[in-house]
Amino acid sequence: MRKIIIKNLSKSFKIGSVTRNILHDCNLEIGANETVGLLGLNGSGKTTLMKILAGVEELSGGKKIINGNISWPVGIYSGLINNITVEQNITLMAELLNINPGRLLERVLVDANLSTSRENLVKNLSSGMKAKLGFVLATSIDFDFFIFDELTAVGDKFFKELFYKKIIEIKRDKTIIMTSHDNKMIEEYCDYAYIIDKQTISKKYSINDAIEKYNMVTG
Amino acid sequence: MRTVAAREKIRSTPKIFRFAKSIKTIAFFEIFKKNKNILGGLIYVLLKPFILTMILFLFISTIRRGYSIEEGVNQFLMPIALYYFVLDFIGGTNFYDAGRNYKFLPNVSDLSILFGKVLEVLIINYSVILLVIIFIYFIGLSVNLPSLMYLFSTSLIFGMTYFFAFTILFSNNQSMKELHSYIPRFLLFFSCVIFPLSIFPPEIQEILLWNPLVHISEFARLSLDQNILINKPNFLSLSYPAYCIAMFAIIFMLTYIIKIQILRYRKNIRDFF
Repeated sequence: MRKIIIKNLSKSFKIGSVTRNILHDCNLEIGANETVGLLGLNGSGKTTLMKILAGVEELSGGKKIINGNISWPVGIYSGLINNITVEQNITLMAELLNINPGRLLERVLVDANLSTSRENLVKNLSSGMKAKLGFVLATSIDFDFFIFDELTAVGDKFFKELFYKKIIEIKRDKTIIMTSHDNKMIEEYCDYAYIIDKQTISKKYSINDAIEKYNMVTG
Repeated sequence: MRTVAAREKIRSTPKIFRFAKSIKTIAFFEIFKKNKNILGGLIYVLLKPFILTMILFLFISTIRRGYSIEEGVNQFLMPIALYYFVLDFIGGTNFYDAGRNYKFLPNVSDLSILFGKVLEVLIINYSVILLVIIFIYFIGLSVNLPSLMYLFSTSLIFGMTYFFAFTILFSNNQSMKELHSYIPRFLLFFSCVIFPLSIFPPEIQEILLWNPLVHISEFARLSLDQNILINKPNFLSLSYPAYCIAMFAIIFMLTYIIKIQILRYRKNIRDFF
């Protein structure tokens, strides 16, 4: 059974001689085929939690159980290496995940409409194009859990249309965890939500309750 | 419109294979990245020791009559090739930061990033050493292969120990990293790579011999000599770099353990209050 369980998770960073606690005593449980929103103010620790789930950051305390393949935290700048080309980035991902590189390359270039940029270095792409490449690359792979971090913050109308279309497609048989400051999007696509408040996650909220509480937090 | 089933399936493999594959993949992509994705860049990296040797040969042959290409190769090519090999490890200590983006990719861990760098250095430098050996045979000289293997292994262990220790020690220390970036330039002049030890007065030689890289460079210079064991000067020793590595590893481990203990002690005090 595909599942993510987080128990008493804590995370702290050492900045100079000061240790800063980002998250403490966080608990959550996410099952198969669920679309979950993660709400919180800027700097509340959403991205850190996403990174912990994806295995990019180690946890400082607590326990993390993930049954299934999890994507990298697909965001504006993550999951792509800047100094290699679009084509090499796709091949790199295919190699790491033991996927047929030719098929993945063809699919991503067509879906992201980046066939003319395949030889370009990723650092020369606009932030919207990078987000599109990262998103299409992740959604072309059969992960059990997808993590999307503030993806719609950049990108034009066409990218947003593609994003919503893919979300509907993935929602059918996969789990999505997404962060966004766009309440309307959370309301429309998520089944329920968790809120990071005062560095902790205490309970699961229905979408309406979550948005109400989040609005109270943001004032 | 595509159906859901059209997503690319991830073939499941044991963890150890995924680890090995991530090391191999990072190494090959680093070779691409380092050489700016062009074949010319890769060829330049492979020919770097030959180019520097040629420059030194041209310089010396203008001031010393009758200086032959064989002498130039004998004095410079192998020490320079080995210097670049060790240098790649020394310079690679900053790689962990530069390679942090890899951590966002699936199946990539800190260890696979570090071993990926080691594999990249090995692939490039094994190829360089192979080219050097072929070139040496091509111009009619010969190499003492067993001594070269021993020399290469010592350089590898020396470079790797340095790479792992300093990468871990400097991972959160920007000022040490900046200071450390000057070391390779400093070492080029003080490791007898471009100036053989014999040109220095005995007092300076004694000081230079404290540097383990001097022993490696001078041994590399002798690796073309078939009677290396008979002709080897007494003050040269490959066990010295080995002792340095061992001492260095012990000091590193002690520093690391003390650092961890201090952190734990501080945490306990904080928790207590």
